[in-house]
Amino acid sequence: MGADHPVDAIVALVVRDAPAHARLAADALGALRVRVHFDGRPRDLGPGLELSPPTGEAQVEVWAAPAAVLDVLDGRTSLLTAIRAGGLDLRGELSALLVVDRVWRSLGHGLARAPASRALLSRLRAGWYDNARGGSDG
Amino acid sequence: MTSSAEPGRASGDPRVDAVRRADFWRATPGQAADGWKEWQHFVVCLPRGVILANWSLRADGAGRWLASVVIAVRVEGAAAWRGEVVEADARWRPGGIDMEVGGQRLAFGPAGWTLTLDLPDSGLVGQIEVRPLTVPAATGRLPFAGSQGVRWLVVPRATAEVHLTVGGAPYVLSGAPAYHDHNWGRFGWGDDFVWEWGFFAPSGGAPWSAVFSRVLDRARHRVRMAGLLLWEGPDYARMFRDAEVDYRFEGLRAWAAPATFPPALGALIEGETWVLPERLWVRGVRGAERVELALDVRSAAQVVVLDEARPLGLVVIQELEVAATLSGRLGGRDVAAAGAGLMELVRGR
Repeated sequence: MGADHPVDAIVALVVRDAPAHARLAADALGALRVRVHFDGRPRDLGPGLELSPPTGEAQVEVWAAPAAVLDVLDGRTSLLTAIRAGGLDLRGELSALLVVDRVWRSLGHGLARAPASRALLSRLRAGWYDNARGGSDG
Repeated sequence: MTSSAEPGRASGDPRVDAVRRADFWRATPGQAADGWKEWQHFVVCLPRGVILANWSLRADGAGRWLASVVIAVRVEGAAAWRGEVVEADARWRPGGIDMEVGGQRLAFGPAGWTLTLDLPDSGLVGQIEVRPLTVPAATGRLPFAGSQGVRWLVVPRATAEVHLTVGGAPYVLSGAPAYHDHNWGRFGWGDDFVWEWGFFAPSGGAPWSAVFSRVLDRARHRVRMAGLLLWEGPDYARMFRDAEVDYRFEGLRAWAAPATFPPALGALIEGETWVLPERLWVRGVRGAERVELALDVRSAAQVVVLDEARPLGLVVIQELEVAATLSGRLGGRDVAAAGAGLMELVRGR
């Protein structure tokens, strides 16, 4: 279940295809714990880019609606506009949010340098969970 | 990297034949030479709009070729640009001009180039025929950071027949001013250089066309090379170079959410306000001869390229569609023309 979360797929791909960027992301993350709710499903990203089910308290929580993520990746809206519109929501102390920004940039640059990220984007476009579960059990 | 021009058949048009002899891909299929980059670039000026199409090859550092096509289009009446960056295996052959990448085809025949776009998801499908109106001119090596520099071959003036479907509606245009260049050599994106390049295409039958370019260090503190080249009809007319050329930017305008190709990379350059000059003046002066180009920015997009040295670096190529005027005095004659063009400003991030 958890391993099917997009955060798992992103981290695994960057670790495999852009390891220097994975190290940058891990260094930027430090001891922080970030809880990412994608399509309502939570997943924790912790020190060393370790992924786990929600555990204890997270310093930052991110809520991401799949449609908003696709709008940003397809250039229909900017990241800031998506945040203002509520499609992306980030909660945490400012210093922790700045850490998340550095982590995102490191992972994002890693994805951009990894050709396999196209398959990941295709899956996102097809509906990450709808596609995996036939759209039946949410 | 050696190759030879394909002999082909004479077209009856010396400009087309000259392109066939000179403008072939220098890269050859097979082992990719480290650091090699090459691209064939086309721009078509539309009435208040522009078409950019660029077929490119680059070596991936492991002996493989990576091919991509950038298509970016803005037609009149549309505020937004549309287009895509297509990355796929390329088909081409030594000594040839033709290339196909993911359904986007560049073909050369007796009437010039045919660009075939097949981007239904972006609402861009059809063909553009581009016929050269000058022979290609080879310029000196562009002093990018590497020691060898980059070669540049330019057809400053061409004419295009546009047969596209744009967003489901037919878009047909005859006799649109167009431009072509071809670059090849070894360098790394993110090396210590930027370029500021553009061209002027006249409207209304005026004979003058122009290409300007300068290369600076990445911080833009030092100009390594500058040139302003003019053609009268099909004939190369004049070149101003280095200290004879002056660039002056004027005004500032903030652009909200510029179109970004590929769009996903736009998410990595968030938070930086995109402020551009409203106008660029390019002047060439030598003795009593003086030419001045005034270029007013009408629309802007950006092509983003990954920095090859800095893991979190990007190179942004700002594509600025311009309305332009040319004025001055050359060879004892007044020069005046109005038209359009495109200017590219490369910036490191």
